[in-house]
Amino acid sequence: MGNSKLEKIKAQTPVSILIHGGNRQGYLITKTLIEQGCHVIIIDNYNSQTNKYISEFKGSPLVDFFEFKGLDGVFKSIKRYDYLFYFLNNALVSKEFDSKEFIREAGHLEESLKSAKKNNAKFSLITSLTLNRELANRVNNLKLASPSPYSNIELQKYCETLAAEFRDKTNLNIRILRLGSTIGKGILKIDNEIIHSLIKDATQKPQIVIKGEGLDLHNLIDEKDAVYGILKLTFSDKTKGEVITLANKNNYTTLSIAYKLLELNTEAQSIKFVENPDRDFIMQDLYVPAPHASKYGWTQQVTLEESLIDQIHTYYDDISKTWDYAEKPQKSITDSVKTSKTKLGEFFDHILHPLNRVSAPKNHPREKKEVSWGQILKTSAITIAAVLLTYFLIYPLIGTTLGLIIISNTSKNLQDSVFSMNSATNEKKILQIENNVERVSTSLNNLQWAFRLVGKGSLYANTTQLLLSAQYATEGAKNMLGAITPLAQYIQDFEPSVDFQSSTPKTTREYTEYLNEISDNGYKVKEAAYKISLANGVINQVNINEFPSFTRDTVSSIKDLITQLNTGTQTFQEIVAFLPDLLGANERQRYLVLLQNESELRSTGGWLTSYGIVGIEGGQIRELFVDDIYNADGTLKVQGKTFTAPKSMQKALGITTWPFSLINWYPDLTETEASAEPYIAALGKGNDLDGVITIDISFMQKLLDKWGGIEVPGETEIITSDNLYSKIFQMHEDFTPGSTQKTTFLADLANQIITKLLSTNIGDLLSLGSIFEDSLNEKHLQATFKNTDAFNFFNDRSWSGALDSRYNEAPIAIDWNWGGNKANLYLNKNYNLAVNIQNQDTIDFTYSISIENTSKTTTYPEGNYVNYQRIYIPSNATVLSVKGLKDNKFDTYKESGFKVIGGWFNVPINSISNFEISYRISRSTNSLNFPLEVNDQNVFFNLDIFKQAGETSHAYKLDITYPNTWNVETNSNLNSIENQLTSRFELSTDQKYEIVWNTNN
Amino acid sequence: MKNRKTVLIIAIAIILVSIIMYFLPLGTILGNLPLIKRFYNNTSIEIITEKGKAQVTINDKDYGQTPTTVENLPEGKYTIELKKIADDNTFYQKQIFEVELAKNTSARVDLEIGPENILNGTILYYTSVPHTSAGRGLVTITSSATDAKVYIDKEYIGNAPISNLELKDNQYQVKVSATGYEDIEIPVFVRASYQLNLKTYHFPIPVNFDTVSD
Repeated sequence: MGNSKLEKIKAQTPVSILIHGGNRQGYLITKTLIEQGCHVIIIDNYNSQTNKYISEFKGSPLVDFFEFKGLDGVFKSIKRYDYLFYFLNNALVSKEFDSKEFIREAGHLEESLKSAKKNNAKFSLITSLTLNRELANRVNNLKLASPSPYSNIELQKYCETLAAEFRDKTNLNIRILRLGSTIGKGILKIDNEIIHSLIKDATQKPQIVIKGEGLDLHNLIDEKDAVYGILKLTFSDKTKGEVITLANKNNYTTLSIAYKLLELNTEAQSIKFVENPDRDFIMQDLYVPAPHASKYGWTQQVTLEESLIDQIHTYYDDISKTWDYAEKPQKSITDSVKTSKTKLGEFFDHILHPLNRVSAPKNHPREKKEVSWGQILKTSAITIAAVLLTYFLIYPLIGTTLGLIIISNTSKNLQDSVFSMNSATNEKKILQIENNVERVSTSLNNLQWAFRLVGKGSLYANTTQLLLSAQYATEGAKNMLGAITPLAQYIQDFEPSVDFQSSTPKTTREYTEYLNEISDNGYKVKEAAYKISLANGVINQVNINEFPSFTRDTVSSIKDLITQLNTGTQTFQEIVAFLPDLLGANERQRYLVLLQNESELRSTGGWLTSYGIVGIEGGQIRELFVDDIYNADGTLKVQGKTFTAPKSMQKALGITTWPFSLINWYPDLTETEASAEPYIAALGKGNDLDGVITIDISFMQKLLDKWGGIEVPGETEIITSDNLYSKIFQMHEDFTPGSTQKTTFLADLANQIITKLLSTNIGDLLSLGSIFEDSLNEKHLQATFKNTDAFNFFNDRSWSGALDSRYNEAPIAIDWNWGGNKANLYLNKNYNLAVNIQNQDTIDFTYSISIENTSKTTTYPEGNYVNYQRIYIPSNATVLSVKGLKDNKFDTYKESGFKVIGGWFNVPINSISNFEISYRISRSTNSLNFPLEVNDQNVFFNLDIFKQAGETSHAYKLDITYPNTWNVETNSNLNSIENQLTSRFELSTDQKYEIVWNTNN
Repeated sequence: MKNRKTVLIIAIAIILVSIIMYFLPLGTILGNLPLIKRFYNNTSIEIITEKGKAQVTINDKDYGQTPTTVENLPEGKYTIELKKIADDNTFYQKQIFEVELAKNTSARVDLEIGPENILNGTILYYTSVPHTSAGRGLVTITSSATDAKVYIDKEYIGNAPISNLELKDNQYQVKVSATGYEDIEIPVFVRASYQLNLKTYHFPIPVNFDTVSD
């Protein structure tokens, strides 16, 4: 090829120079240009590869070929040329260059630029879009290494900069075209390694291997579109001075191309992802390409799929394989994906695979396909069956089991922590139990059908009753916990100011805030009592025998627990109503404590030996005084203070004034309290009393048994229940006028016992509960208060020593031992009460007492029983007969709301005496308080038998006769024989009978 | 192997759903849904105080003076405080009660507040009971008086408290009578699947006794 040829080019023939044009791109452009009548000069380093392309043009007059070494000569010899295409991208196939190559290439470009300027030719510098993207990512991502100084990236960058600067200096008509990776029929090897590898795998291997996640972006362009674009953009004047991206408008990820290849049904059937540890990590491709060629009128003509088909054909040809794309059905993308590429992927696939199978048809697991009505019905039926199975079997079974486990565990925790006083935690636990009981109940409801199916309907009914009871109980317990907390804190924190060992108070702390809180929470106690009573009512209807045998003990224990809880809660409800007031929440409360000796029986329980005053304020003991009764009498005598005796006493005992020691003349303790107040005031111990508490020797003996004895000042031995009476009797025998020995002992003993009780913490006091309860029931301990609620609480339990309207039928026998001995220790008594109910309006009572005095001698403490006997009967009763009183003389008068028959009923030693009284009560004379209550078909009869305080246990026989036409509905545990109800018992406590008859015949 | 896995996963799913159903507070959710709650919380409570007015507070929220009717409260437990409005408040103590409201029911507090913490009247409300015989409801009656006798339609039922008495869905006349206290008589409706809670309070009747005479 000689330069002379160039000189012969006609002036009107357009001339184009293609530098690095000896390849596929150069070939296509040359072919296009010469078809248009253009003369083309191709400059390149020719070799066997280039020969494949240029050989076609060797004979053509329109094409000249030059080596780079002749470049300078070409530019000098050519007269003119119009277009210069510098295919720099073809020179950048190698990744690395040496410095000479780098400088040489730069020199070629510079020379070309100058020449183009000189010839006023249009210049297109075609570079690699792939290298530019890589350069941008390296710049944007500091983690990636910078390209080496003589890399293809740096060379492209240098050349583009050189061209731009040259354009700025010379205003050369130049554009830079960044060309995407070209694919197409004539591309034997794609310059993009990843795409090349994909297509190679697709055509040669069963799997397409993707290194990494396959999310790298690629810019592709079909070779035909590339040629069209290069020419169009070069010819256009609008592109002067622009940098333009020439590639398909869409970016393609490696994965999407791989999918596309699978769709085209190549050799590969699946994709395999492999680790790519060497790959540069790009968090995000931030590459912003130059303006796209479409902006300058270029449009993509060939689709990616068409390009790939051409390219695949080429690769198949290269390995001498045939590929008939048209005959093979397309496969779906997902069909060929194997997700065993990464460990995480494998794991999830493993887990979800069955679900995928469930949700897809068997033969084509992940492809949507039309569903038949039959299949819809089948699926619906299965779904409904699953829902029903879940709702009516699995859920109730799991729910009930789970709930019972939670309830059981929480209950155990609650039992452990209930005494911790951590109310918040306990409340939370109770709430948890409550919620779970409700949930179990709800879930069990869904299982009702199963119980019925197996014929266990009654078991279901009883179980639901049990749950309902538990629900009420937990609701009640929650309220109770809130209510009991301040009381529990009081009990926990209480420290008595009285010191048993010392006269100095230990503490001055008060507990008013706790007491106020107890009052404020009263409504919670009421609600708790209500709920627990509901629980009790429900559980009483539960039949334990309906439960499986292995659960009966548990059910039984729950039943017992709720019953106990009910009793305790009802009692507590009553106590909190008055407890704060009794403990001096608002003001100091002062109580008179009387020590009575029941071996010398008196109206309220025995001869008064000592008395004490206890003052409580703010929940703390603020006052304590104990003294002998003789001292009180002596003090008043010295002061000259006397008090007129009640008329009944004057008549009975023949005395006009009564000393303090006789203030328990009235059998009603509330009257004794009223009687005592002026004495206490006269003794300088305060003007009023808020209550009276009586204790007797029997009560003290029980305490001494519990404590193991107590030390009393001046005594050489410990006083126990065994030696107590002998000690009292011994003191009496040793007593000489003027001596205070006897009185000092009993007063000191009382003082020691009261002080010990008041210095005991509440926890220890509670351990004495049974002693207190027994003593209260047997009236060895009594308490009456001015506080109405407190009085009612004690009175309802017959602990107050009061004679109230409830004793409106049976007689009340009151002894008054006036013999100055302890004869009561030697008496045996028998009581008989015959109640004859004539009709709804008339009742006759016959009451007899038989007393045997077993005293052998008249020497103290034994002796004749000199007893002023009083019988209290209803106020308007008609006395029919009285027998057995001394000289058959007796007084009848009204006192304390009763009619009283009083006379001497003495029993000499070693003898038996009998007494009998008959009386009648009629509705006509007792309209307000007649003991028979009639309501339509029913007659109610409440019979209350009073036991005198201090009295020991004696035999009692009760017979009730009623009209033949009445039928007993409630017999109150009396024996029923025809029209008679009978009972024999020991009268150790008050007895109450509630009898109901049905009169409807 | 795959079938087993499928069964296992379905079984696990059913168990999970069952556990969720157990813990899901469906009632609470329904009771708080914007449109449904109006129908779901169809409750009302009427508060009346005889012979005087009282300030009404429900769960620490002021509801004005009696007589008043509060409607559409969510189902649940409420603490009602009644403070009698009087010139001298030292006579009258604040009264606190707990009342439950069940959906589609009405509660009624009809009381006369007396001095010294005594009350006369009734508190009536319904609670839902999951299991009763068909067409029957439960009745529970308590009384502030000891040994109060309870009559339903003039028939003596027993002494208060009467717990969980099962009656047909109907109207009844309840009378609670105690010696020394004023009677309470009230018509009530027993509703199927509900428990009627009736609490009665009674003023004591003063009784005079003769004291001492010869």
